[in-house]
Amino acid sequence: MPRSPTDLLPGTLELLILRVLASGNHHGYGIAQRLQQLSDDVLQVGESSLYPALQRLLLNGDVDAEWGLSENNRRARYYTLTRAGRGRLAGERAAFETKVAAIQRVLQTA
Amino acid sequence: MRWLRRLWARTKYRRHDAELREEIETHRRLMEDDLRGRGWSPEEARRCAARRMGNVTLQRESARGVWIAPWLESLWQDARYGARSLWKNPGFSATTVVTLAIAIGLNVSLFNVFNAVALRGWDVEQPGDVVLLHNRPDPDRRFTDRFSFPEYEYLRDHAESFVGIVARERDPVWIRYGEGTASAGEEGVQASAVSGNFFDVLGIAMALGRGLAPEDDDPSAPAVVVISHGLWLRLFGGDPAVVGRSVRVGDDGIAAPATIVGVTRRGFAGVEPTDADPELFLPLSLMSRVEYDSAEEAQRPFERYVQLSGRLAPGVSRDRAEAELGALSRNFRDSVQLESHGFLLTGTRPIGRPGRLEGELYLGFAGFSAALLLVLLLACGNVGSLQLARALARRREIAVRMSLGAGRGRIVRQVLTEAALLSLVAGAVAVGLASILPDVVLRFLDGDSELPPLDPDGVVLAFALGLALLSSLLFALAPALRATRGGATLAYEARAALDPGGRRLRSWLLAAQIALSLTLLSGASLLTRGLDHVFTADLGFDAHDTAVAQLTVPEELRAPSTLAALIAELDAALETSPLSPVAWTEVAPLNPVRLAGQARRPDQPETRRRLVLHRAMSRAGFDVLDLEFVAGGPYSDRRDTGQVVVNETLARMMWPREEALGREIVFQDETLNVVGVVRDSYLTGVIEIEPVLHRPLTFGSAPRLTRLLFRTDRSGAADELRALVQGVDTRFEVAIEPVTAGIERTLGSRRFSAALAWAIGGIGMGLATVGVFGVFAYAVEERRREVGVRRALGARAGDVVRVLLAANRWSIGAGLAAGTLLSMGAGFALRSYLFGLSPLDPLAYLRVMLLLALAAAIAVVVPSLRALRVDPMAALQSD
Repeated sequence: MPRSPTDLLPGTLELLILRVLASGNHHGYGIAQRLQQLSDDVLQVGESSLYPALQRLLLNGDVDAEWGLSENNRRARYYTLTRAGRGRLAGERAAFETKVAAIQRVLQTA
Repeated sequence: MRWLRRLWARTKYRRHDAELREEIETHRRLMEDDLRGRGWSPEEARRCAARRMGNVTLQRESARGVWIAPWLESLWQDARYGARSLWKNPGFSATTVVTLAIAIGLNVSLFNVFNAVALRGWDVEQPGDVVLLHNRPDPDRRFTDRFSFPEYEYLRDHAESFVGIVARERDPVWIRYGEGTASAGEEGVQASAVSGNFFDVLGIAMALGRGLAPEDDDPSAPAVVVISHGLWLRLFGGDPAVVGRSVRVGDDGIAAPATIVGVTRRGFAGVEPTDADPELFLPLSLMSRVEYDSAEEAQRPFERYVQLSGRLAPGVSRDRAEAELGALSRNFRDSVQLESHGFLLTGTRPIGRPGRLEGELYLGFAGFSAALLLVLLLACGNVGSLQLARALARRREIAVRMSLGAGRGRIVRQVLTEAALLSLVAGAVAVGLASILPDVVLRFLDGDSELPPLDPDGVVLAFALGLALLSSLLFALAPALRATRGGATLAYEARAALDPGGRRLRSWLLAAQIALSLTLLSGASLLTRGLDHVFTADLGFDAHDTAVAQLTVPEELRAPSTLAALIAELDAALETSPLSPVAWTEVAPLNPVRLAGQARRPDQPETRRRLVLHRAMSRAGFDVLDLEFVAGGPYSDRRDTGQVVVNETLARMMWPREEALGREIVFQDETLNVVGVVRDSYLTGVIEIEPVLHRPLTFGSAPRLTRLLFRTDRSGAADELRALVQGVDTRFEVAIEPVTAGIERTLGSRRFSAALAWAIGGIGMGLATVGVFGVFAYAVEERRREVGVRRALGARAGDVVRVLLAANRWSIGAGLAAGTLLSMGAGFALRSYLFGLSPLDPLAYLRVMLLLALAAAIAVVVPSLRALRVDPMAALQSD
C-alpha cells in the first residue's frame, strides 16, 4: 500500500525534499520521482502536497528556484538548497532522528 | 523577512500565478514523457497523466495559498468584482450611498458630540497626567467631589505625588463693564473661581495676555480676572486692547473693580465639557470677597465647595497618590473632628466617574441615539428593499454562477462584499458630515453656544466603521440569503413574481418602516406638545397677566442717598396709582438662577444645612403673582422683623412631619421666623419645583433693587408704569417684558431638543415614505399582468386599488399596531419632558396620524395611478 504523504509526521515531507535537494538540483517532478525510487515506491508524493510544500520552503528561504531545461528539453523550474536550507536540514534531521529513536523505544519496550 | 516575501508575491501576483501554472503543466508533461518512455501509447499516456494529476486548478490554488491566505485572495476578488458591478449600476449605488450616508452621518454626528462631551478628557496640556479627586463615601452616602478650602490648602502644600493640585468652583457672578462709556452694561455670567496655580498646572493656552498666577490669589493682591474668548467677542467686540481694561465683578454693594489680564484661547470651554461654559475666571480669594456671606464661610473646614484636580508627578501611580492623599486627609480631618474615608482618583473623562452623573445629559443622548438608530434601521430597510429587488433581478446571473459550481456561501459573501463597499463609501461621507453637521445645527439654533472642537478622532472613526459594516449586514444579509435559496435550478426557474418568500420579506420591511416612523414622529410630537403645554398649564402662580419692568439706574443717580430718596418717591407714587399692587423683586419669576443659601433648623448641626433658593421680593409680590398661602400669610415689608415665607417643598424638607408655620429657621446664620407657607409653584423655573425661601426686599436690604413686578390685566398698564417711573425721574430707563418670556428662555434647550426630534422624525418619515413607495411600486409592477387581466375583465379603478391595498393590509396594520405600542413606550420614557402632559395625549398622536396618512397617500396613490394606466393588452403580451 503506497503511503500518501499526509500520513507522514508533520514537516517530514519538507525534510525529505531538503534531503533530496542536498544531493543535487531537481525540478518538482524529479523530486517526486526521486522520493518514490529511494523509498522503494512506499512514498508516493502527490502534486497537491508537493507544490504547497515547495512553496513553503521558498517562502522560508530554504530553497531557491530557477527556470532551466529538463533532460528532455522541457522548461522546468529547478530547486536549489540555500545555505539556510542546509542549516535547517541538519537541524531537523537531528530532531527527526531523536524523535524516531524515541518512538522506537516506546514501541519496543512499552 | 517572511512578510516581505509575501508582499513581493502579492505585487507579482500575476507572474507568480503564471509560473505555478507552468510548473504544474511541466509536471504533467514530464509524467507523460515518462509514461511514453515506458512504452505507453501517446494517447494513453496523456489520459493517464491527466487522471493522476487530478484538479490542477485546485493544486495551484493550494500552492498559492501558502503565500496568500485564500480568503484574503477571494475577498480581493469579490471587492474588485463588486466595485465593477456597482459602477455599472450608478443609480442603485448612488441611492444606496446617499441614503446610508445620511443615516450613518446623523448617528456619527451625535456620537461625535457625545465623544467630545463625555468621552474626551480635559482640554488641557497632557490630560493623561491629570486626575480628579473624589471623597470615598462613608457607608451610606454617595461619592462627593467637593472639599473645603482649608483641606485643599493642606493637601496642596503637603502632597508630594503631584506637580500641583488645583481647586475650582463654579458660580454665576455679575459683571459690569465699560462703565462711564456708551457701551456700558451688566450681565450675569457663569464664572469659574480657580486657585492661583490653575492656569500653570493645567497648562491652558491664552489668546491674549496671561493666565492667572499664584500671586493673584493672595487676598491682598490687586483684583484680576481672565475672560473667555466668547465673552471677549460678546462684550468687548473682540477688541485687542481689552487686556488692562477694568470691569466690576460681584454682588451690588461689594462688587470689586478688577483688571482683565487675559483672554483664553478660542474654543477653550472650561475644563469640564459638561459644565455650562464658564466665561469668566477669577481667583478664589477674589470670589469670596465679592459675594455676600462667603468670605468667612469660605474658610470653614466643613464647608465643602471646591472641586479638586491635580497633575501627577512623573512616575507616580494613581494608587500611590490615593494612599498619600488618604493619609494627609486623615491628618487634616482629625484636627477638625471630621471623618475621612479616603480618596478616589479618576481620569478627566466625564463618563464613568463616580457620584452625580449629569443624568439628563446622558438620558438626552440615549434618547436621541435611540431615535437616530431607528432612522438608520429605516434607511437599512429602504436599502434592503433595493437590494432585494436587485438580487432578484440578478437571479439569472446568480443561477449561472451557482450552476458553474460557486457555493452558496461564496455568492452570499460576494453580495455582502458589495454591500460592505457601499457602506464604507457611505461611512466615509458620513464622517465628513459628522465633522460639520453638529456645528452647523447648533449655530443655526443657538448662536451663542461654543462647542468643544469636534474633529473626529480615532474613536469616532472606529464608530463610523463599525456602524457602516453593521448596516451592510443589516440590509444585505437577508436579501442575499433569499436570492440564493434553493440552489441553481430554483434560482434559475423561479420568477420574482411567484416568490412568496421575497414578498414576505418585503412585507416585514414595510411593517417595520411604518412602525419606526410612527414611533419617531410621536416622540417629536409629544415633546412639542409638552412644551406648548407649559404655556397654558397652571404654573401655580399667575404668569400670564404679569410683567417685569427692569430699571436701569444711570451713574449719576447711584449715590445711596440720592437713590434712596428717588425710590421712596417712586414707592409712594406706586402706592397710590391704579397700578397697585406693584412689587420689587430681586429675580424675575421663572428665572432659575441659583441665587441660593444654606438653611437648617435651629436644632440641627451646621453640617446638616441644605441649599435652598432665595427669592427676595416685597410683600406686594404675593398679591401680584397671586401666590396661594396654605398656612399663615405674607411678611411685613421690614427686613429687621426676620419674617420669611417658604414654599411647601421647603417646609416638607425641614419639618417632614410637623407644621412649619411659626417655626424658626436658620438661613445663612440668621435665625428667621416662618410666617407663611405658599403652595408649591413653578415660580423658580418650569423644569422642577425647588425649596424656596422668600424674604422682604426693600431699599438698603441689598443686593439689588432694579425690578418691578406688576399686573397687566388693565390695557396700557405697561405704558402707565413707564410713565410713572419716568415721572419720578426721566433718567431712569425702563425695559418691560411679560413674565411668560421667561419660559421661553428657560426652555431654550428643550425647544432645541424638540426641533431636533422633529428633524429626526421628519427624516425618518421621509425615508419611510420612500420605502413604502418603493415597496408599493414594486408590488404594483409585480402584479402588472394581474391588473391588466382585471382591467380587461371590467374591474373599475377603485377595485384595482383596493386589491393592491389588500395585499399590503397585513403589513400596514401590523406596522401601525406595533408603532402605536412603541410610541406609547417612548411617551412614558419621555414623561419627565412633558411637564405633566399625559404620554397618551390624543392631540400629539392625532398630528402624527395625519402626517402619516398624508405620507401613505403619496406612497400608495402614485404607484396605483401608474397601475391604472396599464394597457390590458400590453400587460398580457409582455410576458
